[in-house]
Parts: sequence; structure tokens; C-alpha cells
Amino acid sequence: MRYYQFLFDSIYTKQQASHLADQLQRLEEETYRVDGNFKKKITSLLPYETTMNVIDLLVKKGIDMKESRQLQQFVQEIKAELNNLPTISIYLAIDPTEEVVKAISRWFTDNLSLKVLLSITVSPTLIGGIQILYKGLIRDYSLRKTLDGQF
Amino acid sequence: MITVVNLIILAVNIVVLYLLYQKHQGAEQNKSKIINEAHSKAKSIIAGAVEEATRELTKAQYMEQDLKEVLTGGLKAAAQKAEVDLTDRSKKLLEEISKEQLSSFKRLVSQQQQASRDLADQVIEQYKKERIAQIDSQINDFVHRIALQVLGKSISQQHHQRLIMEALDQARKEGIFDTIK
Repeated sequence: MRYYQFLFDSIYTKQQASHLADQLQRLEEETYRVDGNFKKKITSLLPYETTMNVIDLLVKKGIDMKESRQLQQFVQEIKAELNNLPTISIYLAIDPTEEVVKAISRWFTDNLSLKVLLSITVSPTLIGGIQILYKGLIRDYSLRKTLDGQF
Repeated sequence: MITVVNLIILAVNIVVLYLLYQKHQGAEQNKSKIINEAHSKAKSIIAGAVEEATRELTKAQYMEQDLKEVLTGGLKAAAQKAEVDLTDRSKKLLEEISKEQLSSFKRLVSQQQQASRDLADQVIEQYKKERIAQIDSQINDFVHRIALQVLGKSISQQHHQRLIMEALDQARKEGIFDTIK
């Protein structure tokens, strides 16, 4: 699997993934309309970078863009892989910049060799650090907890 | 009274003996004279005896009177003495009881005072502890709030990012992500 994962390189958050899932859904719907020019539809529906990656992949896989069935299967596989990405909920004290979000996402790929989707909630009372919620377990690595321990 | 009767019996015996004696001597001739003399003597003896008896009776009356007086006085004195003794003893007993009761009461009061002091000390100590704990808690809360406010405002984005990365490293060490596939 994970064949299409590079398509998600610019996807860091659950929100972004959800948006992409909507786009892919619309793209899949378009494959049922046999009015030709699938490439144009991709360009109009997906972000530029993703469009380029998808087209590149279509070419690499030798998929005929006029073949609805092949295109449907292709899109469905992408959707399935996107849906299978693990999601980790995190709570941050600040509304993170894109740089911070990327850094967190990169940490997972660097340290766990894994692409994860981040579900980010801003909670200023944490002061700093992070709270992690994964599979029903919550771990508190916030500065507030450290301070609470001091008092 | 007994002495007077004895004297009379004695006098009669003497007269009888005398008569027998005279009879035994056979002096019948002066029978009448002797009887008269004996009669006279007996009379005299009886008179003497009566006189003596009267004296003894008087003496006995005096003695009785004395005895009565002595007895009355003695009884009175004894009663007075008994009264005094009783009063003294009662007083003493009362004093002893009072002393004992007073001592017991003092002891009781002292114990009660000590118990009250102990209780008061305990209450004060407890109150002090609670108040100190309360003040400590308030100070902690205050410092905590200030620390949170100050820290929350003073941490830069870079510092936040570093804290997040450190937290992720820590979580990894603790195996939080071990189940992620």
C-alpha cells in the first residue's frame, strides 16, 4: 500500500485531509461522466502541486485518462489510502504557524517513519508544550502540568 | 433503813437473852423489878436505837440527797461533756469532710481546667494548621496564576516549537506511539 503517500506530502492536518477527500470525491464523480478531458477536471478540482503529482502518477501507472473505470479505481485507491492515514489529536497552547505544523508532521515521519494527520486544537491554558490524544489515551506534556507539579 | 432494822432486832435479842439469863439464875424474886428494868432498858435501847435509826435515816437522806446531787451534777456534766465531745467530733468530722470535699472539688476543678486547656490547645493548633494550609494554598494559587499569566505571554513561537518537539520526544520514549501503524 502507501503507494500514493507522496500525494499527501503537503497534507498535515485532518482538516486538510478532509478537504482533499472532498476534492477526490468530486473527482471520482467526474469519472462517471464520459465527456473526455479528465486532465482538465483534475486541474480545476485539485491544488496545483497535487494535480501535478496525480498526473505524474497516472502517467507512471500507465492509466488511460479516457478510461473511466481505470480512473475510478485510481481515485478510489487514493481515497482509501488517505482514509487509512492515522490521525493524532494534539492540543497546543498557541495557534500554530504553518512552520510549526510542518515541524510536528515532520517529526512523525522522521521519528516514526509514518505519515500522520494532525487534529489540532488550541488550548491557551496549556501555556506551552503539548497534549496528545491517541486511541483514547491522553498524555499531558504541557507546561501547565509541569507548573502544576511545582505547586 | 437496813441498819435501823438490824439495830432493833439486835436490841430485841439482847432483851431476850437478858431475860433468859435472869431466869436461868433463878432470881425470881425480883422478877417484876427486873422486868421493869428490862422494860426500861429495852425502852432506852429502843429509844437509842430509834434515835440512832433516825440519825442514820437522816444521814441516809443526806447521803441520798448528796448522791442525787452528785449524780445529777455528774450526769449533767457528763451530758455537757458528751455534748461538747459530740459537737467537737461533729465539727471535726465536718471539717474533715469539708476538707476532703474541698480537696476533691479543687482536684476536680483542676482536672477540668487542664482538660479545657488541652482541648483549647488542640482546637487552636488545629485552627492554626488549617489556616496555614489555607494561606499556603492561597499563596500557591496566586503564584501559580501569576506564573501562568507571565509564562503564557512570554514564550516565543520558537520556544513553543521547541517545547512541542521535546514533548514529542518524551512521548516517544514513553512508548505512546508504539501502537501506531
